Order: sequence, then structure tokens, then C-alpha cells
Amino acid sequence: MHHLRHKSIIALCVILAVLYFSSDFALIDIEDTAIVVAMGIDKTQDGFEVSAQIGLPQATQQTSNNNDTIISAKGKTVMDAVELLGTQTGWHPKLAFCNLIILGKDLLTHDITTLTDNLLSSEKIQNSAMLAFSQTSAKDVLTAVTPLDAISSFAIQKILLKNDRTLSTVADINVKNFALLNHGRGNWGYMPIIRIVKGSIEGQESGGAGKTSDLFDDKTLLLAKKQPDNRPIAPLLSLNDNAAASNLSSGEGGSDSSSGSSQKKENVVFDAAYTALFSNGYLVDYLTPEETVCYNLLNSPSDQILLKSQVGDTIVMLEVFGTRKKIKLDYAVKPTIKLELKINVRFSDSTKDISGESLGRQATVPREYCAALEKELTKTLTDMTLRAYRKGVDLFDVRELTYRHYNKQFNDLKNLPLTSFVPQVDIKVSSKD
Amino acid sequence: MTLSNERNKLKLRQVCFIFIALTPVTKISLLPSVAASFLEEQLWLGLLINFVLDFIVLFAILLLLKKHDNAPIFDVVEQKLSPTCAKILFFLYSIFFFLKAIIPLLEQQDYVQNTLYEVTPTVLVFLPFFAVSFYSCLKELKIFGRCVDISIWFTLLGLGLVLFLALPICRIERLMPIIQKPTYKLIKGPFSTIIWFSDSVYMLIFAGHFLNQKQRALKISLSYLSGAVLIIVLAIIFYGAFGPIAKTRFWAIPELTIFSIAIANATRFDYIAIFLLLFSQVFAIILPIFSSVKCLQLALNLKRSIIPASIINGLLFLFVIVFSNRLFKVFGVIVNVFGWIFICFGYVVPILLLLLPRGTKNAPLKA
Repeated sequence: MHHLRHKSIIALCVILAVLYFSSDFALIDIEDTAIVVAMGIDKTQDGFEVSAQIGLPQATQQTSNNNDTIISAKGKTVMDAVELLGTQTGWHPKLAFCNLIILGKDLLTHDITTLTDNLLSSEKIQNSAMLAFSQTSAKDVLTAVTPLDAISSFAIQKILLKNDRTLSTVADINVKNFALLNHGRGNWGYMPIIRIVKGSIEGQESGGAGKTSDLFDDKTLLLAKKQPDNRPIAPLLSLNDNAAASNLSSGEGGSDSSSGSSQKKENVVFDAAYTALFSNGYLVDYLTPEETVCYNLLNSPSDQILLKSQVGDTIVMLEVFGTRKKIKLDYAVKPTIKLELKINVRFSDSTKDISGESLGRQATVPREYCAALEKELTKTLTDMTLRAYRKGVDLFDVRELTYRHYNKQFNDLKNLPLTSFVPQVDIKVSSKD
Repeated sequence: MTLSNERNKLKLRQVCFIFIALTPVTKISLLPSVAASFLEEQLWLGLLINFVLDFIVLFAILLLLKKHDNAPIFDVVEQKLSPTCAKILFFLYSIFFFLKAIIPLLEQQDYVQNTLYEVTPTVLVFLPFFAVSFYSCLKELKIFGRCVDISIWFTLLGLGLVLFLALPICRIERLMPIIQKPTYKLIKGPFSTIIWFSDSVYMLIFAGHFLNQKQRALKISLSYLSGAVLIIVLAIIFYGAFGPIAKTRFWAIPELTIFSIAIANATRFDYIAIFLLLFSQVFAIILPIFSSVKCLQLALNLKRSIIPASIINGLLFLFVIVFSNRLFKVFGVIVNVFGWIFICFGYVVPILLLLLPRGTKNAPLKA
């Protein structure tokens, strides 16, 4: 009997082993798998083109050509194109390691809600994948060659994926957070714009770092129009400001020594300091680098970034080492969004010798520099908020705040136009701990 | 008739561990998402209502045990009412536990397929679970005592790692407003999630089969409370992370952990937590199956549990084959059609059992 029991247990173990390993855990051979590290999505006439950047193992003495890592396919939907990637190349595209999704400029005229919703609901793609909008086609960005990394998407991720506390120069966002905003009560969203700041993809002449006129070329400027579903979208998207060569830390991915000359492919460097703003799924506006920093100061941990303060001819760079922020709504007299920000700063650098007393990490920054910075930030915040509200972008989530803090009156207040909200900015800059 | 002899009794510590390590892990996969779909920001309040109701039942059962000197409930009913009544009651409890096992079982199958596999595997890969379940059902309650002594560490480490990774993405303001209209959601929500609760009823199975040690009621209550706090904290972090899209994020644990900067920079080491919790979940899902088998064994007055174990595991096996990947349809049917069974046997009957008189009808009861 005892012998029979042992035999039964062994037989059971064999059966279990067969059951477990018969499908090899349904794994696909690694040789047949393309591990996609980044994905570019471009709009075509009748669907989408998906370009997938594959992580290829490299020998230490050999670097792979960036173009060799790209496979692309066209389909009616994004997932259709992804499926075609598999059938056309014979590789099974594994998207679980895809950390970056770039949307091409052709999506400028497209409601990206469906697209991002599909990305969110897909079990193949991680919701932590970062989203970025491209100045050019997404495929061009992925095929671009950069000196920063053998694989272009890794270079872009270096710009986007930084430590939480030093992220304030780039308005990074992932699939989940974009969907949260887009499906929130404000129906808005944002994502960083990947920009070529040096060199060009096709080896054309480049204007050098900081020119914003190439953020979107003139032909892609959108005129205000109504979509069939009556969604108000896209007033003029003109980018004629000259402030891109920001003295604020701009979120550039790196630098190159040969700017301004005839560029080779190796000279492409990316920047993500600009931020695209979406309302109801449509791109309607953008934030400049200064505005992006201001937005991040109020919305994310913001240490170790540099802010510029100018008094007369003297420019002083102040390092932020702590912020306290509060965003409140007040409906008492007039709908008001109160933006309160207290920033602790210390000297980092200056164009002119400041008195020795003021230098050093523990020294007190003279009041005039703090006041100048307060004035500059107040103006920037007020202007960008008013402009965003005019474009229908619920910057600072007034609808969500109304729902949370004025829940009983929410049904009455939710239809107030954003333009009826007055921003009241209160910024205090000091060098005291 | 008893399920175990003195040597095979659970220690009080093991009963407490069951309420910390096993019953909470059935509530960490789909429940946060389902609760969010009914209650939105108030999901934690709905879960709190469920736990308070469970706690009341637990308190009632602990009183019942005190009243009858920790005697097996089957024996109590048999002597105070009649053997037929006891058999009918335990037959009905067998059905209750069978129903209680279905959703966690299908949920687990779906969860494993979606989380661990790149492409959906054949349903056969889940079948070894039934081998473990069948084997456990043939054993005495002590088997859970031994398992839970190990799985308590798995659960605590797994949940600890998940909460640690998820906490930075939680925005607590997303849970505001705390109270909102319409309040009927606070009735509908807890009812819709009722199938994950009524865990206090396991005490009816444990009654008479664990050692009667000091401060029994206090220790069991605190253990239950600890499990409840863990789940409510997890639900709060889940909604704080996902807000209005929480209802679309079905598998809470892997959804919560992937946003950590450490995961982005290193690798998916959160799978350690997922596997640790999966280990505990196996025994947590077997617990209602085991309870169903033992109730059926008592109802049919059988000396060995091989026949009820074969029936219950066989039926669940068929159920998984037929309803594989139909989790949400089955969930809807069980809540809408059989929801009253959960109210009746999870809450009403245990409290009514308190009405059974103290003392003996024929002979004194002994555990």
C-alpha cells in the first residue's frame, strides 16, 4: 500500500510536470522575439504607421546602426500595425519593455483620445511608458542618429526620464497620467515636444540650438476650426517667440561641438523643453520652456533647478532647494484660481561679482533678486494660465478642484467657461530655509 | 462528528495568520477595480462598510463560540436543533462556499494568464491547481495551519513591497470629496463586492478545531482588523494612483508597481512581490473549496472526504474549463442572482445561530 502511494505521488508529479511544461509556459523563443524599447506612431492617410525600435544586443567593439533597429508597418489601427510588424518581419514584437511612445506631428490634426485610450487598455503596453509629441514624424525621430546613444530612443529617454526631484525642466507624462487628465473632468492633457535642437535628420543645414521656428514648420500650423463632433480645436499654433534659448535649464538632451555648420546625421540632439497642450484630445497650444518650468514648479517636486533673476545688467542664477505650493479655488466673489508658491533659493552663479557676503550656499540672496524673480514668475504664470484658459485647456485642474472642494455645487459650476476664471498668483522667493 | 482530532487542531496563532495572510490576498487583484467602478472616490468607504459588516459577524461567531465552549458548530446545531437541520444547514453552507470559491478561482486564472504569460496559454496549465486543491481537501484543517505559517511572510513581504513601490504615485487628493451624492452608491457598492467578503464565516468551520488559548477573541479580532486595514490602505493607494481610470485597471498589483522609478531604472523586480502573493493566493483560494468540501462531508455524514473533494473540485474544474475567460459574465450572474445567498449565509445565519440556547439538549458539548 505504501509502495503504491509512492508510485502514485511520482506519477502525479510527472503528470503535473507535463502539464506545466507542455506549452513551455507559452513562452516565445527569444530568438523570435523583438524586444521593443520605443514606439513611434504616425498618422497615415487611412490609418497609422507604427515604427518600433528594437533593443539589439551589442558587442563591446561594435555599435549597431540606429536604422537597423527600426521595424515599421502600416495598419488601420495602432494594434493592427503592431500585428503586421509581427507577420511581416517574423518577429514577435514584445512591447512590455516599451518605455517611450512618440506621436508624430501628423497627429496634430487628430483627436488622440482614442489612440491613448487604446494604449491604456492594451495589455501589451505598459501604462508607465512615457508619451511625447514629435516636432517631425515619429519615425524620423526614431531613425535619427545621435551622438548621445547608439539607439535614439535611449537618448530621448535620458532627457525625459530623470530623477523625480530634478525633473522640472521637462513636463514628462506617461500613458496613465495622460489618460487621467484626458478622462478627468477637465478633459485636457499635456506632453513634452521632442525637438531637434541641433543638426537635422536628413543632414540639412541647421539653425543651431534654441531656434523655435522649427518646432513645427509653417505648413503644419493649424487654423482654428470646428471638427464634425463640434469639438473646438486648435487655434493658430504659431511659434514665433524667440525665447527658446532659455536661460532656464532647458531640458536639452546634450550638446554637440559642431552646431550651426553643415550637419551630419551624427549631430542630431534632442530637446524636450516645450510642452504641447491638449484639450478634448486635440493639440491646441504649447508651453515655452519658461512656462514649462513654472507649471512644474506648481505640480511636481522641484529641487536643484536653476531660475534666472535679472536686476539691471546683472543676471543671477538661483538654485531652487525647496518649494511649497498650493492651488486653491475661490468662488466667493468671482471664480478665482489662486496659485501660491513659496520658493527657497540660493546663489548658483552670476554674470557679475556679487558682494562676498551674498555668496556661498548659506548666504542670503539680496531681496531685489528675489523680487525680480517673483515678478517674472508671476507674469509668466498669469499669462500662461489666461492663454491656456482661452484655448480651453484646464491648466491647474479647476474642474477637478471644483468637484473635490465644491462637490455640492459642482453641477452648477461645472459649466462655467474657463475664461471666467481669474488667476491670482502669489509667489514668494526667499533664501531662508 | 468532528473534522479533526486534538493533535490536528490549529493553534490560535495560525487562525490569526489565516486572517492576515490568506483572506486579504483574495481581495488584491480585481476587487479594488470593481469597487472603484461602483464607488469611485468612496471605494475605501464601501470596503470599510463590508469589513464592518464582516466584523459584526466575526464578533457574533466569537460570542457563539464562547457560549458553546468552542464546540464545532455542526455539533451545536445537531444537538440544539436536530441532525437533519445540521445536515441541511451544512449542505447549504457547502453551496455557499462553492459559490464563494468561483470568482477568486476564475480571477486567479485570468490574473495568472494576463500577468505571467506573453500569449494566452491553454487552460490546462491552470489544472495543476486542482491537484493541490484536491490533495488539501483530503487533509485536515491543520494543513492550512502549516501553510499559513509560511505564507504569512510571503503575504507581508509581497504587500509591503507593493505598497512601497506604489506609494510615490498615490495622490491622496484624488479620493476627495470624502462624502458625495448619491449615497445609494454606498449600498450598491458594498453589495456588488460582497462575494469577496463574508470571511468571518470561516470561523464556523474553524470552531472546535483550534486550540482554545488566552485572549482568543481579541487576537482573532485584531488579526482580522489588520487584514482589513491592509486592504483599505491598498485600495486608497490604488485609487490615489489611478483616480477616474481606476475602474479600467483590473489587476491592481502589477498595475500599481510598474510606475516606480526604481522599476524603470532597474527591471521588473516587482514580480518578486507578485510571485510571493501568488503563493499565498493559492492557499487563500483553496480555503473556500476546502470549507465547501468539509461542509459537504458533514452534510453527507461521510468518514472520509475523498467523495466530496472529488465532487467539489470536479465541478470547479469543469467550471474553469467552461467559463475560462468569462470572468465578468460569471461575476455579474453570481452577484445579481446569488447575491442573496451571500447575505443570508454570510451575515444573517451566523447571527441567528447566536439564538441557539446555551447548555445541552442531550449531553454536554465538547470541542
